[in-house]
Amino acid sequence: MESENDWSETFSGLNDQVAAVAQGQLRAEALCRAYLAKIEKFDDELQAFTQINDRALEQARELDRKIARGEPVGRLAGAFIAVKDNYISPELECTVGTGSTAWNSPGGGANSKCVELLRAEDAIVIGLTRMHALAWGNVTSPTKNPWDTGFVPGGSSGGSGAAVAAGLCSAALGSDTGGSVRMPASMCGVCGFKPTFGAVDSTGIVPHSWSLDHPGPLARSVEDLLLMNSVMAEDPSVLGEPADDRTLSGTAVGLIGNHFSERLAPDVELAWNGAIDTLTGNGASTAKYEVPALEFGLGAIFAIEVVSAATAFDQFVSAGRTGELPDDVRDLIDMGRMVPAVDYLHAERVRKLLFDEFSQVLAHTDVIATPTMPVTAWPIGEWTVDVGGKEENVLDASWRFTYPFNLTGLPAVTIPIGRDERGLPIGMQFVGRPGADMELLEFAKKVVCKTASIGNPGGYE
Amino acid sequence: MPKSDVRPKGQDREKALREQYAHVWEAIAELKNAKLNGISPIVQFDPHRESQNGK
Repeated sequence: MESENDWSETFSGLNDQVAAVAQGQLRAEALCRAYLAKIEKFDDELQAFTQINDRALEQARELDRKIARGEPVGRLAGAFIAVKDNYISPELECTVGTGSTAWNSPGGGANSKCVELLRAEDAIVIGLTRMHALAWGNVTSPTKNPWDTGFVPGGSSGGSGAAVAAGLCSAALGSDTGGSVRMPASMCGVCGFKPTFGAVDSTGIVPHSWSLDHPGPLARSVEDLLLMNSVMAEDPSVLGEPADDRTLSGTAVGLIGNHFSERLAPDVELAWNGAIDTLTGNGASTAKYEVPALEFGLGAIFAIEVVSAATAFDQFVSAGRTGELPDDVRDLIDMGRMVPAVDYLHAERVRKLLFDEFSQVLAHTDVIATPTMPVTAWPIGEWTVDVGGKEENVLDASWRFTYPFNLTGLPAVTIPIGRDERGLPIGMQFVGRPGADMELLEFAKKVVCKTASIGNPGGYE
Repeated sequence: MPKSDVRPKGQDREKALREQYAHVWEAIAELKNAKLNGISPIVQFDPHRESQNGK
C-alpha cells in the first residue's frame, strides 16, 4: 500500500481498514493518498464528488502521528467518509445539490451531529458527494453509475452510491426521504441502511421533509453499516459472533403479497425468487401477508413530501428562486402549495394505518423481505422505464418499494443479490421492527454470507 | 446563473402541473377513500418532551 499506484486497500472495506490502521499495518496517509489519486483519476467521469476536503491528507498524517505516539484512537481511525452535500460541516460548503450555499439555510446553521460523531471517532471526511437537488429525485445528474457510465446511479444520494461502488471512499453518508439511501445503494451494488426514524440525530442535515427524512450510511458490507450505525446512533452494541457460523433457522420472514410483487422487471423477479430460495434453503421460514393500506401509500407520501419540502424552502419559493432548480425539483416544490390541508391530514391518517398494518405483520415475523426496487438502473437521459411491459415514470417505478418505510419510519436495509442481463446490480430489502436496527443489520449480515457476491465494478482497481 | 423563467405563471402553471402529474393528483384524491374511521393523524408535537426542553 506504500506505492502510489497500489489501490488494493480502497476496496477492502471500512472494518478491515480501521483494523489495519489501528494495528500499524496501514498508514492513514497512504490510504488517503490512494483515495485522492483515485478521485483525481476517475471522478472527472463519475462526477460523484462536489468538493474534496483539502485538509484530508494533513488530518491523515496527524492520525498516523497519534498512532505512532501510542495514543488511543477512535473506532473509525483510518476511515475516509464521503458525505452527502446536505450535511452541514465546518470545513466544507454544503449546497444541497444546488451549487449555492444559500439553499442550506433551512438547516439552521448547526453542524451535522452525524459528522461530529464520526469525527469524534477519528473518521476523516474525504469530501462532499453530489446529490439530486434538495434531495428530491433519483437521477443525481451528472453523476454516473460505476457499473456502466451510460446509466444513472440513482438518487438522491447518487454521488455517495457511486463513490462507495467505485472505491473512492471507505463508506458514505446519505439521507433517505423516500428511498434516497436504499435506491442508489441498490443501483450501485452496495449496502445501504435507513435507521428507524429518530434513531440517528438529523441535526445539521438540511431538511426536506421533517417527518420522512432519515440519515443513513452506504458501505461495501453490512459489517461496515453496523460500524457506521453504531457510531451514528451512539449505540455501542455492534458486531456479534461471525455471521458465517450461524444459520437462518428459526427466523420468520414476512413476504407482502400485494404491492411488492406487482410489476417487477423480469431480471429483478428472477434474482428475488433466487434470494428467497436462499433464505428458505438456509433454514428461514416464510409466510405471506397483505398490507391493504399500501393502495393509498403513493398519495400519502406525495401529499406529505411536497407540502413539507415547499414549507422548508418557502423563503426561496416566495423569493421566486425556484428557477434555479432543475425542472423536476421545481415542479414538486411548486406542487406543495396545491395540496389541500384536508388531504394532507388524510395522508397523515393513512400513514398511521400503514404503520398499524405493518406492525401486525411484524408481530408474526422477525423481518419483512422485499425487492429493494422493481427495476435496475436506467440509461442517462431516459425519464420512463419499461416495467413488466408497462411504461412508468422513473420516479414512480423506482421508489415504489422504499417509500412505505419512510412513511412508517421502520428500519430498512438493502443488500446486493445479483445483476441483470446488462450487468447492473439488483438489491433486496429487509425491514425490521421499530428500534430493532442492530438486530436487522445482524440478520442482513447472515443473509449476505449465504449469498454469492456480485463483486466490484470493473476498471477502478 | 438562474434560469430565465419562461413557464406559465399562476393558474396556468397550476393547470400545467395538474396535467403533467395527473397520476399524483389522482393518488392524493384517493386518500379520502381509505378506511380511516378511528384513525388520528400522526403528529409530532410531544408536550412532555417540549416542556422538558424548556420550550
